[in-house]
Parts: sequence; C-alpha cells; structure tokens
Amino acid sequence: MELLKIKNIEKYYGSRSNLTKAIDDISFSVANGEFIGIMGASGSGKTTLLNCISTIDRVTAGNIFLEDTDVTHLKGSKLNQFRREKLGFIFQDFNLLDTLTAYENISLALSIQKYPAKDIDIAVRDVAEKLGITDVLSKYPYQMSGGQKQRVASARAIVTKPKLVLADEPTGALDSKSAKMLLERFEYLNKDNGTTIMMVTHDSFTASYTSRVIFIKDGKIFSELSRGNDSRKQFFDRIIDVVTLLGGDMSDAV
Amino acid sequence: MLFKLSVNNICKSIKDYAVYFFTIVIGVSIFYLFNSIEEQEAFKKFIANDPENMGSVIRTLLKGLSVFVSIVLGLLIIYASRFLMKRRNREFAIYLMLGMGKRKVSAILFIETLLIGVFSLAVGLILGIGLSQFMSALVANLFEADLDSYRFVLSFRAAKRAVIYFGIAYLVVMLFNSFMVSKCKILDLIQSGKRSEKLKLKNPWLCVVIFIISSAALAYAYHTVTKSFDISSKELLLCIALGGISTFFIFWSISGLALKLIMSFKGGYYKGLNCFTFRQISSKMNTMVVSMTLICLILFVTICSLSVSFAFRDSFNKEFRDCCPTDMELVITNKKFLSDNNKNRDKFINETPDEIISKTGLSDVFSETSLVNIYMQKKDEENIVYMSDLLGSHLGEYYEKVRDSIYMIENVEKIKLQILSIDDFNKMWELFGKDPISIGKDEYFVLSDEKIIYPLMDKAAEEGHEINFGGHKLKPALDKTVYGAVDLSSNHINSAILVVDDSVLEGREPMMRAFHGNYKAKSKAEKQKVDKEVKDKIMQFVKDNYHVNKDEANGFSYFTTKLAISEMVIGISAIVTFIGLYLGLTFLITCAAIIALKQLSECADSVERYEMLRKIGAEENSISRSLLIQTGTFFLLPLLLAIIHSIYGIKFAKPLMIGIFSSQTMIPSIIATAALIVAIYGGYFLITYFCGRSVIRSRHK
Repeated sequence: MELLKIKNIEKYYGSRSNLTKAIDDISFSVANGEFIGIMGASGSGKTTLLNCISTIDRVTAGNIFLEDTDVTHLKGSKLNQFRREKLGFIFQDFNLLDTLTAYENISLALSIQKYPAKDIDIAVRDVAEKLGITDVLSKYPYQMSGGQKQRVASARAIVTKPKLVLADEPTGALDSKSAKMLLERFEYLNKDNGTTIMMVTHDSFTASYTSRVIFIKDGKIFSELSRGNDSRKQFFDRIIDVVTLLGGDMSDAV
Repeated sequence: MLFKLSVNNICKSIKDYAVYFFTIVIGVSIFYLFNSIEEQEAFKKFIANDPENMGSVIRTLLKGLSVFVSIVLGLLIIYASRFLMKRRNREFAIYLMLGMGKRKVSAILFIETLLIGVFSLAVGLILGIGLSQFMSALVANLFEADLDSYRFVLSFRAAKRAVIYFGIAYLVVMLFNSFMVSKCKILDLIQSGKRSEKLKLKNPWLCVVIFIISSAALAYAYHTVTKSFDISSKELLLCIALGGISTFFIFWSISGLALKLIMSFKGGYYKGLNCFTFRQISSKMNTMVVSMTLICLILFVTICSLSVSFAFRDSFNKEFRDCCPTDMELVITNKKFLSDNNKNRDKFINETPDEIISKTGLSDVFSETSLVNIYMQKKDEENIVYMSDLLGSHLGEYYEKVRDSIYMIENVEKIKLQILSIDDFNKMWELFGKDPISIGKDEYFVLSDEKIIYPLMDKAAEEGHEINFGGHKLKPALDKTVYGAVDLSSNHINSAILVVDDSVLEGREPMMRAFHGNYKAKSKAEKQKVDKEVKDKIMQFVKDNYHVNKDEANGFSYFTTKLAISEMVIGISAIVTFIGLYLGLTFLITCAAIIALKQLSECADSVERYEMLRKIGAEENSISRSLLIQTGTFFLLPLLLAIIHSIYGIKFAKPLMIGIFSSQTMIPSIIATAALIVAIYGGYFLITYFCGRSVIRSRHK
C-alpha cells in the first residue's frame, strides 16, 4: 500500500535574478513498511527533500501526500498536529534535551501528544526494550555514549507510533560499531514492527541496510536501486557502483 | 571602521541590549528624579521657613545616598555588561582569529559601551526630567506645601551629578571590559558556546533535613524578633544572620527537593511540557541559589523600608495634629515656687507668660488665649500622690507591658503627679475646642494620652478608688480617664496629670504657668507670617533680658508653636519617606534586572532546546507557557520568601518606627508598597518574558 506519494515537487531558493533549484521536479512514492534510503552528495538537495516531507520547509511547487493528506496545504496548528502524530524524527546530532533523562526525553514526545500519564510508562519501557536501552533510561545524555544517545533519540521518534520515521544522517556522528548496532535496530523495527523509515545518508554502508535507495544529484533523481533478494553485501556493492558513477564527491564517504 | 563595526554590533544585538539599556535608563532617571528635589518649588518653600535646618540635612543625606545608589547601579551595570560579553564570546573569537588585535577588540567594546552609555544617559535624563514634572506633586505632598502654579523644573545640578556619577560607573565598566578581553584565550571563547553542563543531583533526604532545619531556624528568628520589644542587639544580629543563612539553605534545599516532589506526581509531571519545564527550572535553580538568596534579602529590605516609611509618615503626621490643639504655647517656671536658697533664683524670668506676651506687644495677634497654673507636689509634703496610685490594680500589668520595652518609663512609684485646677483646665479645654467638665469639691480626674499608660488608667478609673492629696480625700469624678495633654508636642507623651477642684489647691504656689493662644490669622500664609513674628519677638525678649547662657534662659520652660512642630514633623517624615523610596526603588530595579538578565541569558542558551521541542511537534503556545512558568518561578520564588520575611520584619519594625501600641494600620502603606512592586517588578517580569520569547523564537520563522 502506498504511504507517501511525492508528486512533481520543486523547491527554489533566492530571488528571480539568482535562483537556486534545490529540488527540481522530484516524484516517487514509498509503500507502507518500506525502509528507504536517500543518497546524494553535499548540496544535492537530499536534506531539503527531507525537510519538505517533514513539513519543516515548504515546497515551491508540487504536492506531498501522506496517506490521503496533502501536507503542502497544512497550516498552523493542523500542521503541528500532523507533524506530532504522523511523523517521527531522528537527527544526526541526536537533539536530545540535555536537562532530561533518557526516560524523560522519550516520554516527552508522548506527553506533548497528551498521552494519559499512566500509559506513558508502559509505552516508554516497551520501546526501550526494543532498542536495547532499558539500562540507560535513568541516565542523562552526557552520561551516555553516542550510540546510546542515538538509540534514545530513535526511541523518542518511534514511541508515538508514527506513520513515517524520518532519519537525517542518523549514523553521521557515530563510530562504525555504534552505527552498525543502530542500523540493525532500524532493520529490526522495520521488519518486525512494520515501521516505515526514510533515511537520508551519504554513507553507502548505512544505505545498504535499506530495502531501496534513491540517488539524488543536483535536485533531481539520478538513479534508484532496489535490494530485492540480494544480501546486504551484494546490495552494498551495487550501491558503490552507483556512487562511483555519481562522481568522486562520494567516493570518500564509504 | 571600528566605529562602524560597533554601531552595527549594537543594532544587531539590540535584543540583548534591551534589558541593559532599560535598566540604565530607569537607574539614571531615578537618580535624576531624587537629586532634582532641591530644585522643586515645594522643597524650596519648605526650606525657606525651616527652623530645624532640615534642608541641609536632606541635602547631605541626598549626596550620601546618591553615592551609595550610584555604586549599586554601577555594580549592576558591570554585571549586565558581563552578561553581554558572555553572549558575544564567539564573535570576539572570530575577530581574534581573523587577526584583529586584542587592543582593537577592546576598542570596539569601548566604543560600544560609550555609545550605549551616552545614549542611555541621555534617554534616562530626558525621562527623568519628564518624570520630575510629575514628581513636583509628590514633593509638594511630601512637604505639605501648596503649589500655586505649575513650573517647569530643570535641575542642572542633578543632571551634572548624574552625568558625573554614571560617567565614572561607565569608565569602570569600560576598563573592566578591556581587562576581560585582554585576559581571554581564543580557545575558551570558541568553546564557550558549547557547554556540557553536568547536573549535580542532591541527596533528597539531605535536602529534606536541611529544609526542615532552616525552616525551624527561620521560625525561631521570626519568633525572637517579634516576641518582645526588648531584643538585645546581639540577639537581633543573631536573628539577621540566621535569617540570611536559612534563606540560602531554603533555596538550596528547594532546588534539590522541588523537582523530586513534582516528579512524584506522575500525572502532573508527565503532562505536556511539564517535565521539560521543571527540569529547566531545577537545573537553573542549582546555579542561582546564591543570587536568589541575595535578591530575596534585598527584596525583603525593600518591602520593609517602603511600607514602614509610608506608615511612619502617615502615623507621624496624623498624631501631631491630635497633639497640637492650639497655635502656640509658652510655659514659664514660677520664680516664687523655687526655694529661697536656690542660687540661680535671681536669674529666673520674673514675668508670667501672659506678661511676656503683652510686653512684646503680641497681644493683638491672638484671637483667644488661656493661662493655666500647673502645680507640683513638694518633697516634704504629706500624702504625696504618685503616678502608681492612679493605676490601682493595674500596676502589675503596666510593668509587664513596659518590661520588654525600649521606652522604659521610670519607676512610676516615684513620679509625683502634676496638678491642675478645674477652672484652669476648663478654660484651656474650651480653647482646645472641647466640652468643659464639672467636678465636685472632693473629686478628681486624670488627664493622660500616653499610649501604654492611658488604657490602664482608664481601666483603673472605671474601678474608681479614692486618693489622698494634701489632707483631702478625693473621689473619682468620672468613670474614665480624660484623653489629652497640656503641652503641644509631636506625639502623645503625657503620662498623667491630676485635675482637682480649685479649693483643694488653695494656698499653693504654682510651679509653672502655661499660656496657650490661637492666632487671629486665618490663611496659611498669614499664619506663617504671624508665627515668625511671635517666635522672633519672644526669643528676642528672652535673649535681651535673661542671658544666662548664650541661648538658654533659666525658667524659660517651654516654648513652641504648632507650625514649628508641624515643620519638624513634615521634615522628619519627608526624610524617612524619601530614603525609603529612593533606596527601595533602586534595590527593586537591581533585583528585577539581575533576574531578568539571568533569565534572558538562560533563554539564549536554551534556543536549541526550544527548537528541538518544535521539531518533535510541541505547540508554540505550550512552549510559551513553559517559558512563562520558568520566568514566573524565578521572579516569584525570591519575592514569596521575601514577603514572608517582611511580614515579620514589619512586625518588628513597626513599633520601633511608629510606637508600640499604635492603632495605626499598616494596610494603606502595604497596598502602596505592593502597587510599587507590582509596577516595577511586574514590569520587568513582562519585559523579560516577551524578550525571552522573542529570543527563543529568533531562529524560528
């Protein structure tokens, strides 16, 4: 079933005399339960794309449908409500609140949604178990490793059971071991929990955990790869091939 | 180039500068306002016929206070500029990395401080000059002068003083800033934006214990200062120290405890942004314990000084009107009363007061007069009536009441009563505008108005007992004590005077004669003129005829006029109110500005966090509410404890300033104080909240 449908979106920056096309007519759709990767070099427009989907930024033209809602037409509190209830975010630099414990960071996402307090505890502990962070729940961000922080951030993103989880370079600030652990968790959430994840990355290794990768160059879709029945290693090799084709910019990013 | 950079910087960080600017402007205008008092019409009028040299007292006081106030405001400016410096560490780091010398960075800062300083000084002065036009009404009220017409007031002296004092403060700030820049390292400046704050968690049980101990200590201090008036200075110091220390520990323990307490209410804590809000508050509170303590104590002093000084003025002014029923009084000791072997007897005034009046040609100024003979019991008399005899069974109660008092009245068993005859009394009483009292030949009553002794004597009179005086057995004529006094004075000080029938006093020589008179003059201006004439002529007469000492004449017992007392009363109460207002306002601004700056810097540091909240879908409304709760907490918490302190502080200070059993209510003055605090403190609160909101919204469009 189609969850997200992106139709001919464009995003321009600057004035008429000095126009930058960050996104230049992109269309694709994401099915329910998919784990999709967006790859591209710095400045290719992948983060702008994510921002447009996440309603943080507005498109210049085109439509974005999540289920049956056209997010480009949402405004004000409706927009906030949509973002709150349908989307979950994971950021490169975790964006945890440093004054709160892991538990409180996760529960905050629920209490903002006016969850009854008695249900919060069950939900938090449940998601913490899935992400393997039960033992750090009472710790503060400064007492945790990068990997733990990112898993707490992920827990916060999925605890509200969003339709779509948007992850912007989630492994960007992690060492390879933590990155691998996080990606395995994502895989688990996607496969066993049916969470739809859209992940922006420029790292081929990270991208190889997804089921489909869309490559973006200069605001346009350059290519698309589906994992099919390949093993992760095989998929990784195919991604590398495309990256090589894309240009030298990304060859260092493996 | 540097100048342009400085100007741009100011324009850019106008939001950061807002509170700084606002504080200096208010500080300067208050400074000008109070210093311009000398140029106020009402003040000049007051000085013109001022007998006690109040004017120069106020001037000296003003200078001293202004130095103190400018030091306080100077420290505040340094504090505020340090806050601004911190905000801009990154910017300085960029300058330094680009190769700009430290001296040049200092120069940029110097120009900025100078610009802001000159600008805020100018705005402050203009505001002060504007406000001082309204101040004339206040000053007129303070000095009870009538303003005939409005006049534009511009005090160059006050403006000059403001420029000099604040100029010095700025100079210190500039030197301080340059020093800070020359000391800093690039690395520290760059990293100053990233703070990895570690949360120090306090042991909750320790907090509970400390909270209980300090509450108990506070309760003890409260109890000690209010239980009796006879508190030794040692005890008082102990209480002040206890109060200060326990204030600190109460904030310390609350900062550790409040969060734990709130967290235990799971329903409330995990609701909306509550857990974020309380975490923010508690992390900030940990770093603010010392400043909250200081702010709380300063607020406490402010509240007490404002409300007590207002109340003092009210009660003092009211009381003096009661105590001055006629326009003037002259009391002369009777030479014949003195024993023949008194060495100084020859030097005593021969004339009775009415003779002096006619000799000085003053008879015409009075519309009505009275002359009262005041009798005294001699040492060798039989059946002397002492003050204690009038208290009857309430003597013990009296001693109980005055035991702890600092206004200890001597042994009442040894005070011989003064005596008036009923005829004299009634003449005087009519002049005072009261109904005459008639008594039988063997009857007496008592005249008293002293606050402690009067109610007891009244009770004793109700019981009614006979007294023995000079061989006469006297019965009480009334079942009450008459409220009043013979002498004009600024407050109620007449303990007791006995009034008896004329026949009882036959053959006695009066000790003193008291002359009372009301002037013919009706209008205030005429009265002032007459009053001056009376004073001058009588003083001249005494000087010419009886120069025993330079200023003094023996037997010249007491001379005063209602106007002289009123001027003294107005002068004293004006000084008290003036000091209260001046210091109160300065302190209030200081406290509010410190909290505002702290809160704003906290907002700037937390921009990321609020951005984060928005990303996970928090509504702008709930973010604003969270900020409102945080700002409110830091403004309210010190105020709350300060109010509790003040309840006891005022209880302690009221009897000292107003009198022990004064019925004077504090409510109007407390309302006035509250209004002032709400206006200034509340104003700062709102500015802080709105500035803070725009800071955290700055990145969000």
